[in-house]
Amino acid sequence: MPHDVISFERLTADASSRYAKNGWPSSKDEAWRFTNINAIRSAQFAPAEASLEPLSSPEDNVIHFINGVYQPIDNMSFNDGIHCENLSQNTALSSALAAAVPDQHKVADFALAYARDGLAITIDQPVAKPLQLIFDYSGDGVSSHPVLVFKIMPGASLTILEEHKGEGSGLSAPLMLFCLEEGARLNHARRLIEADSRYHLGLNLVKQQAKSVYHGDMVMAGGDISRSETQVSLSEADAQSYLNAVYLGRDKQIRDVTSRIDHDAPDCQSFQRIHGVLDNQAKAVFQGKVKVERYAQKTDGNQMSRTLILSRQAEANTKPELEIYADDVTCSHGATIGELDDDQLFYLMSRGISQDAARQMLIEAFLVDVVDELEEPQREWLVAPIEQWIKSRVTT
Amino acid sequence: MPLLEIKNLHASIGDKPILKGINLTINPSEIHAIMGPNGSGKSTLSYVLAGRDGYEVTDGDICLDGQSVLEMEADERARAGLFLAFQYPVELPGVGGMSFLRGAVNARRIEARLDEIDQIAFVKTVREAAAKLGIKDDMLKRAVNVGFSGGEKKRYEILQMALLEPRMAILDETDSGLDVDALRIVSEGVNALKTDDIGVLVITHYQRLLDYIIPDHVHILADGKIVKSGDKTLALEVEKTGYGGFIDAA
Repeated sequence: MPHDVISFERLTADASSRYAKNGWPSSKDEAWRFTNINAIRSAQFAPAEASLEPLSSPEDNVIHFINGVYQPIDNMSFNDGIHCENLSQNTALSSALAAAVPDQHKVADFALAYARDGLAITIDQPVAKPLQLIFDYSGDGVSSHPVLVFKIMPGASLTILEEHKGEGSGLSAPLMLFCLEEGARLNHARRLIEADSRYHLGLNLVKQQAKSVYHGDMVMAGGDISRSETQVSLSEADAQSYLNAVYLGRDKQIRDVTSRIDHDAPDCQSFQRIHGVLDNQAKAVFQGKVKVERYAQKTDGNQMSRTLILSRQAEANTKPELEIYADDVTCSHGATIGELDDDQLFYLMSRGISQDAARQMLIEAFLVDVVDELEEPQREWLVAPIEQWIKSRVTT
Repeated sequence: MPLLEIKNLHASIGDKPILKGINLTINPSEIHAIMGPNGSGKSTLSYVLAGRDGYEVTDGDICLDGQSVLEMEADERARAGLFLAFQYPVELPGVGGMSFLRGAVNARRIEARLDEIDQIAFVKTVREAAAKLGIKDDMLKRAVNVGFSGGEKKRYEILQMALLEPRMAILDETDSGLDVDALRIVSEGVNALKTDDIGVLVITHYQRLLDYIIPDHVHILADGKIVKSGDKTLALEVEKTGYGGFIDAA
C-alpha cells in the first residue's frame, strides 16, 4: 500500500511536537484507566545517548541493544534472507511506520520523540535460525527508545526471540512494526525479564496481508510497571493472528496487557490467550478489543483471559471489548479470575506432595499451558522465565 | 500393633457434626468394608482420615501404626503410608502424568530416606503396573485425569496406589461409575496389593464391589456411627433388606 513519503527525521520531529503538546497518558485516558503510571510521569528520564563499539566477533542473527542503541550495522552478521538497514536510510519503511502509528498515541509519540535511529529489517526468504533481539538496559533515570520495522516479504518466514533484561530504574519504550506480506509467517516470542525496579511501555504494531500468519507469544515477568500493547490489523483475507501472553506480578507491581485486533477483511482468524498470576498486592489489567468491520464476513475471533490470584490483596481487571459490524462471524470471549483450586491442591497433597510443591505444580501448569504447544526453541525459551519466577516466589 | 485405630472419632463441617463417635481397628492384612446409605458420613470419614482441610475433628483420635495423625497435614499422612483412592478423582490440566507419579513416589521415598527413583527405571515400573490394570501408554502421557473416562480415572487411582505401596489404603466408592469388566480389573489390582501387612478400608454404598474384594469385616455406618459390625455375610444382608433396619437401630 503506498504511503506518503515520510523520512525518519520528520517522523520523530512530528512525534516530538505531539509529545510536547500532549504529554503522558493519565487515568483519564480510557486505555489507561486501570494502569497508574504516576511513578513514570513523576520520574525524570534522560534518553540514552551512548553509541556502541563494534563487537569483535558478532554472532550470526543476534542484534544486541544497550539502552536501545545498537552497534554499527556493518558490524552485524546475518543469515541469507535477512537484510538490515538504518531506518533513517529506508524511507519506504519509515513511511510505513508513520502510516501505522496510531493517532493520539502518547506512548508511541514518546518512543519516537527520543528515538535516535531505528532498524529496518527486510526478510525475503524463509530463515531457519531465529533472529535474536537482546535488549540490555542499565543505569538510573535513562529512557530507551528502540524502534524496529520489519518487512516480511511474500512467502518469507522468520522466528524472532526478543528479550528485554537489565538493571537500574530506567524506562524502556520499544516500538516495533511488523509488516507481513502475502503468505508471510512470523513467530515472535518475547520475554520481558527486566529487574523489578524498571519500567516498560512497549508497543507492537502488526500489519497482515493475505494468508499471512503472525504468532506472538509473550512472557512478562519483570519490571515495576510493565505494559505491552499490541495492535494487529488483518487487512486482507485468510490472515491469522495468535496473541498469547503470560504475565506475572508480585509485590506492588503493575501489569498491563492491551491488545486491539482489527478484522478489516473476510475469512481472517484471531486467537488470544492471556494467563496471569498475581501475588501480594500486584495489580493487572488485560484489555482486548476486537473490531470486526462490516465486510469482514466469516471472521473467527477468539479471546480468553484467565487470572490466578495468589493473594486477597492482588487485583485483576479484564476488559474485553467486541465491536462487530459483520453478521456472519464467530466471535467469543471469556474471562475468569480465581484462586488455586482446593480440590486440586488436596488431590496432590493426598499423594504426599507438599503444599508448596503442589502450589508450584498447579501455578506452573496454569501458565505453561499457554505456551505448551509452541515449537522449540520458543517453548523452552518462554517456559524458563516462568519456572524462574515460580521458584523465586517460593524462596522469597 | 493395629495398623489403623479410629477412636471415638467426632468430626464436623462448620458447626454441623457429621461423625459422631466412630470406633474401628484395622490390623495388618485385614480388609474392612464400611457400608452406609447416602448422608451417613462415608465420604466425610475418608476425607477426615486423609486430612482434608475444612473438616474439624472435635473429639477422639486417629492413629496409624500407633502414632496419632491428627496434627499431620494431608501430605504428611500420605508420606506416612496412608492412601485415599478418590470417589471423584480430580483433573489436573497441564500437570503431566509421569511427572506427577514420579513426584508422588519420590516424596514418599525421601520421607523413607531412600534415594529418588531413577527416571528410566521408573517409566518401566509404571508401564508394567499400568499394563496390569489395562491402562494404555497414551493415558500415561496425558495430563493427570484429563480426558479420562470415569473407569479410566478409577484405574489410575489404583495405579497410583500400586506405585505408592501404602501401609493403609482407603477406597472411597471405587466401584461407582465402573462397568463389570473395569470392576474386575480394579478389584484384581486391589487384591494384588493384599500382602502381609497392608490394611484396606473399602467404603461403598453397594455390596457389588464386595463380590470382588472379599472383606474380612463389614461395618454399617449410619448417622455418623457404626451401628453394626460383622463378617462378609452382613453385606449380603444389606443387599437383601436395605439400610432401613440398621438406621432405625441407630
